[in-house]
Amino acid sequence: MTTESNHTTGGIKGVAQKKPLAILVCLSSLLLTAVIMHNIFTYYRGPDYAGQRLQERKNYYEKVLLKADVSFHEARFYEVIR
Amino acid sequence: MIVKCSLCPIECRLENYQIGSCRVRMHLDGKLVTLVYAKPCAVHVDPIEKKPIFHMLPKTAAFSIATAGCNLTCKFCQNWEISQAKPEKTRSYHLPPDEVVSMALSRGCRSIAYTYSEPSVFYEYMYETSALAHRAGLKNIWVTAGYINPEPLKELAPLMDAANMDLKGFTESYYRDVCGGSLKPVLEAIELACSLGIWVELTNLVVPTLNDDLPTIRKMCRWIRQTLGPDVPVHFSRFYPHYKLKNLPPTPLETLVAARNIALEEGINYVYTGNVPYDRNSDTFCPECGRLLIQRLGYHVAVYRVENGSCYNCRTEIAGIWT
Repeated sequence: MTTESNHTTGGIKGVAQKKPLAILVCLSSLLLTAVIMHNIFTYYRGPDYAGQRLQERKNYYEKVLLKADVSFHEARFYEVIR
Repeated sequence: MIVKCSLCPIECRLENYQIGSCRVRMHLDGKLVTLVYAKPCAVHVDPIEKKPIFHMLPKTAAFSIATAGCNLTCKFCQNWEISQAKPEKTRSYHLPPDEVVSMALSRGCRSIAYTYSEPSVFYEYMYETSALAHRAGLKNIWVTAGYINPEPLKELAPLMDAANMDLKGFTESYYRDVCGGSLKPVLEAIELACSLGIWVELTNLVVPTLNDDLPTIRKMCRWIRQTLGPDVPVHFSRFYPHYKLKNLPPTPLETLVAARNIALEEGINYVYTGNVPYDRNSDTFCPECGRLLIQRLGYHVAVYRVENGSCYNCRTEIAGIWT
């Protein structure tokens, strides 16, 4: 006769109950990290971001505005700040 | 390099090739350019009563022009097809200032109205046309939301004879949430326009559930009376479902009448309801003897009894520009 506890039954039971929770926590952490990283990368855009945006605006100017029926008359009330 | 536009309170900071929030002013290689100079997308001859301007040259026609663009984003805009449009997506005419003036003269108009969208955003076109119009003996009318900075307004004022300025509501939250702007600069512009000698009439579009709170309307009327005086005409205009507010019903006539009564109680002499056909509340009465001076049927003037700028009966001077 032994006083040794029955690890098999109790142990497996316990682990089986905690596993889905652990996976859920793990996935949530990963998701949260991904969201944070995405926000960081979108906020601190790459070094080419400004150049790409400028190129997009220039393309729009050349391909759309220059061909449209608009004027390019110098406006008043503005200042060049840098 | 960044260019800061200082025409209106938004004060857009624009990188090269970037277009401002009004959609019509653009940073181009260190300069700010307007995309709509001499490019009106709407040209009409309207009765001056349509602006509405009730106290300047009644029964005359106003040559009315507008370009695309606006610096506000009102959810109820009646002209959103042009005010919220990009100029490159709009069909426009080529009509330089001198041609606007000669067309106005040839059609028997006594004034030129800068209207429909927001004329402040086509400032340069409006300014140069106004100068030529004055030289030709025409009056100028500015139909505006008043979202403009003081400096441009000061320069424009000597050329502008009359203005119908919107006072769309009387809370910051209304201007922010419904119009995409701010109340404070509008109040300052209205006050400045009056002090610079422009004949100002105010329009308040009463939108059910959004700005039809009668205590707030009373507060607004009190501000008008105390800041601008009793002779600034106020038009309470009826809302019809439009643009992004198609879910709301037209303003009940009772609300407009209640607003008008409040304005009269607060001591404003000339209060009208608008966008209501054949309504007796769009007539002008002498504030002294109460006699009917101008009876309006829609945009048509049926009775006109202002003589040399005064009441035909008691000779009280009626505020406005009559000749």
